[in-house]
Amino acid sequence: MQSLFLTAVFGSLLFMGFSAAFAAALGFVWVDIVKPQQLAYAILTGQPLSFIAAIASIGLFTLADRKQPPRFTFILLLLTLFGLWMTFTTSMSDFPVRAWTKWDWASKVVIFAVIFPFIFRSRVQIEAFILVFIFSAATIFFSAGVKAMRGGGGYGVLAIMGSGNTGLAESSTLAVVSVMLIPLILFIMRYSILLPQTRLTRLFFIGVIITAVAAVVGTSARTGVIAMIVLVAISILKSQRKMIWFAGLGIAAIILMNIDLSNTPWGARMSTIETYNEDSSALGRIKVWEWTLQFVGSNPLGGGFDAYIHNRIDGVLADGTIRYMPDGVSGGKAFHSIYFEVLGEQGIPGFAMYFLIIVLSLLKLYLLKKKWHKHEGMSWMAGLADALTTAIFVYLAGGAFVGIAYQPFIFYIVSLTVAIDQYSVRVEREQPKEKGRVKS
Amino acid sequence: MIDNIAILIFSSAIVYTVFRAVKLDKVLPWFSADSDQQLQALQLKERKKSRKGIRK
Repeated sequence: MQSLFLTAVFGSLLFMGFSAAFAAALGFVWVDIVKPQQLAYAILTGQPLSFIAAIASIGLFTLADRKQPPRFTFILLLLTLFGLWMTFTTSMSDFPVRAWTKWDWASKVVIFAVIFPFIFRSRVQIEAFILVFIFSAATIFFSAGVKAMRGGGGYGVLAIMGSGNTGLAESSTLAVVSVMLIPLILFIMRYSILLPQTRLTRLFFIGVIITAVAAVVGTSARTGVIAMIVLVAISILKSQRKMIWFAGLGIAAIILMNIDLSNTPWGARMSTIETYNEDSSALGRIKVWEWTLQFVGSNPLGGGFDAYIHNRIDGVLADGTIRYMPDGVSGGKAFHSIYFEVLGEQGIPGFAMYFLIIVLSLLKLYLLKKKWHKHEGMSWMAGLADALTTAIFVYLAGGAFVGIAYQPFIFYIVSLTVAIDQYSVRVEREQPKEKGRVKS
Repeated sequence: MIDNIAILIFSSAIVYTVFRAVKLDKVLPWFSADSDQQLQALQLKERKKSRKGIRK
C-alpha cells in the first residue's frame, strides 16, 4: 500500500510537469530528500528515480518552459567553476573508485543548484520550491520527532526513516537540517500565498516546528544543540522583544538546572561537550582536523573526494593515542566538518570557491532585505532573505561538526538566493513606466 | 506506523502544494511588486463566481 502511494505521488508530480515544468523539478527535490526508492517495499525499490526526475525536469523545461530566464550571475558562474574543480580533483584522486562514486551524486547537486534559478522564477514557483523542501524534510524529521517524544530517542538509537547512514537518515545531518528549516517554516506561516492563512495551517506548522525540535533532541546530536543555540541567538538579536526571550531562556535554564538529565540519553550525550578531551569521537575529529591542515599544506590542490582515507585513523584513545588501520585495510576517519571536508577534498582553490559562494549569497540576501523591507508589496522578499540568512548561519555553525558540504540543502538555499535576487531585478525592470521605478 | 503516517501527511501536502502552485502560476503575474493584492483580487473574483453559481 505504501509503495503504491509513493508511486502515485511520484507519478503525479511528473505528470503535473507536463502542465508546468517546475512541477517535475519539485518531483526531483522530493526524490532527492525523501529517497522514496529506499522507503518503498516494492515497485519503486531500487529504481533510478532521481535520474528519471532529473531527465523529466530538464527535458520539460527545455522543451516547454524557457521563458524569461534569469541572468547567469556571478554566483552561478562560481557554482559552475566549483563543479568543474570537483571533477578535476576527482580525476586526480588516489582513490578513484570512492572519489567517482561521491562525485556521481555531488556533481548532480551542483548542476541542479545552477539549473534551479532558471526553473523557479515566479513567486509561486519559488514558494512551491520552499514548501516542497520543508515537507520533504518534514517527512523524515516528523517521524523522528514523534518517536523521540514517545521515548525512542538516543544517539545512534533513534530509528530514523530511510536506509543507510546518508542524507537525512544520518542523525547529525537531520539535526542540523531540522534547525535550518525552522526560519523557512516561520516565513511560510507569515507570507504564504499557496496555502490558506488559517488557524488550522498555523497550528499545523507549529506542530511541524515542535517535531523538528523534538527530532533534534531525539537524535542527541551535539551538532543539533549548537545549531539550535545559533538559531536562538540570531532570533534574540533580531527580536524587538528581547526581554521576553531572556525571560523564556531564564525559565528554561532554571528548569534544566533543577532536573537531573544525566540519566537520559540526551543528557548523557550532551555532558560530553564539556569533556570533549575524554570523548574518543570528539578527540578523533580534532586529530582528523589537525591531519587535514598538514595534508593541505603538502597537497594545496586537495586530495579529491574521500581524501580522508589517506589519514588511516581508526580511532583515538582517551589519552590521545591514535590507533591506525591495520595494514592491507583501506579506510580512515572522516572529516566531520564542512570546512575540513571541502579543504581536504577540494584544496585551497575549492575551499575559496565554496565559501565565496556562501559569503556572496549572504551579501545578496543582506542587500535584498535592505532594499525591500519597507516596501509593502515586497515585504515577503525581505522576510525570505531574512529566513535564508538565518538558515545559512545555522548551517555554518552546525556544519562545523558534520560533513554535509555537498548535501543538497545548502545548495538549495544558494539557488533560492539567486532566484529571489533575479526576481528582484525583474520586478525593478518590469514595473510599468507610468508608475516609475519601484522605490525601496 | 509513524513512518507511514508521516509519508501520508507530507506527501499529500506536497501533491496539494504542487497542484495549487501549477494552477496559481498560470493566473498570477510572474514578476510583480504587489502579488499579495493581485492574489486577494483573484480570490475575491473566485468567491463571487462561486456565489453566482450557487444562486443559479
